[in-house]
Amino acid sequence: MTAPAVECELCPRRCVLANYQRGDCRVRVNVDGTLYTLVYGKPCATHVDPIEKKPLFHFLPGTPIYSIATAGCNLHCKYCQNWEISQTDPEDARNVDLEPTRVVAEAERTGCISVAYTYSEPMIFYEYVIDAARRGRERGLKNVLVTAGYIEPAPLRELCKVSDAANVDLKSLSDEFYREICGGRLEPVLRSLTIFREEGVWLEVTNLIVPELNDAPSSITKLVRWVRDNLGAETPLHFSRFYPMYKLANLPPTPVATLTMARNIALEEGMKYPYVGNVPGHPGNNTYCPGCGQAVVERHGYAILAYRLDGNKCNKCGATVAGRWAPPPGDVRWGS
Amino acid sequence: MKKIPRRSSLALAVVVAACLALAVYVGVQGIVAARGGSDAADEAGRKKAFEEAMAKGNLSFEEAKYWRRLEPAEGEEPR
Repeated sequence: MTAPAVECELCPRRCVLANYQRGDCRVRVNVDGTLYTLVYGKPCATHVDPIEKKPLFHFLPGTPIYSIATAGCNLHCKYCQNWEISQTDPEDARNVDLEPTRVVAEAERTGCISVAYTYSEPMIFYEYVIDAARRGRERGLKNVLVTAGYIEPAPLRELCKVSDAANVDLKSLSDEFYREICGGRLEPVLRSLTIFREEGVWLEVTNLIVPELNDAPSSITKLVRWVRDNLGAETPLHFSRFYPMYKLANLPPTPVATLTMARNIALEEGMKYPYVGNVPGHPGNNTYCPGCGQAVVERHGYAILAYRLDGNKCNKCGATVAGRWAPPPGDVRWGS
Repeated sequence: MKKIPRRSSLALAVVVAACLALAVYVGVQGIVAARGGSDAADEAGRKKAFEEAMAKGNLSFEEAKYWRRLEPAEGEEPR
């Protein structure tokens, strides 16, 4: 007689797994009626990044962030920028042994005050994230999730308890786009975004604009309005440039004019902090004061060139700029 | 009535026998599959692949959170 099947309740796929079968994410397996994760303490990527690379522009700017990822993902975006690790089996990746306590130790050793769970999809190495984040909290580290938000509500709420900030990749406001391009669904992502907001996690949103697929002004307007109406006009919104990759290597890079157009739409719709990403030197890299329009944080790509905030106030007009700005930013030359 | 040549009738008998043998084979395979024989073979294949993956020494093995066992109903074979 075979062992019982199990149902994974972590993500909206709710994979039902026969004995020795793996989930869609490649990293969770039913062995004799018990579900195991294969990537706990086994990252395939560890790196120190500027926090602006996540991208987070309103959270501890100018600081380095210890960043880790394991193999696997529960979405399968045809344009994935990290497909070499997200779309591979974990046994085929170059993993290192890094238990949660060592994640914290490495973050401290490298001078980081925060840890990012990023690159692939932190929701599929959930247990590892939770344990490392708890240990980090005990040492005063902040925890950052860079995610597509494809997770069920209960595990997400538990994760939010140990998370300080998140950048959620909202790929489109079209369910058809999610189904055809990413192999997922839109609704769970929108639900996750509202949960992050409800749970008080600092939230920024990224929309990677892909030529011909989600670059229509009407699509961008729809997305902007959803973010404004459900997450608030003060939510930083990053329009990021696509580069030909993975299964969409045939498409051209996103024209800068398209990204500028998207940012202008967001401004017209009342968003306070829309950005242009992956285009160093674009004026849309900067944070502007919502009161007087001064560039309160000037950036070139990930590098901070000028910083004109006192705490969370514009140093010219005193208007409040939304974000988690304390402690003061680190070396403003970071990333330059 | 024209008489069928002896050689042709022999060939016909061979073809009929082969068809019967094939039908029996397919039937038996169907019964095996219905009883879970194919599932067992699939499971054995998955187990082998899993053991090969673990043998690479590149994975961990920790119990996951957020899952449930699908207990079969009384008299039902597990899925």
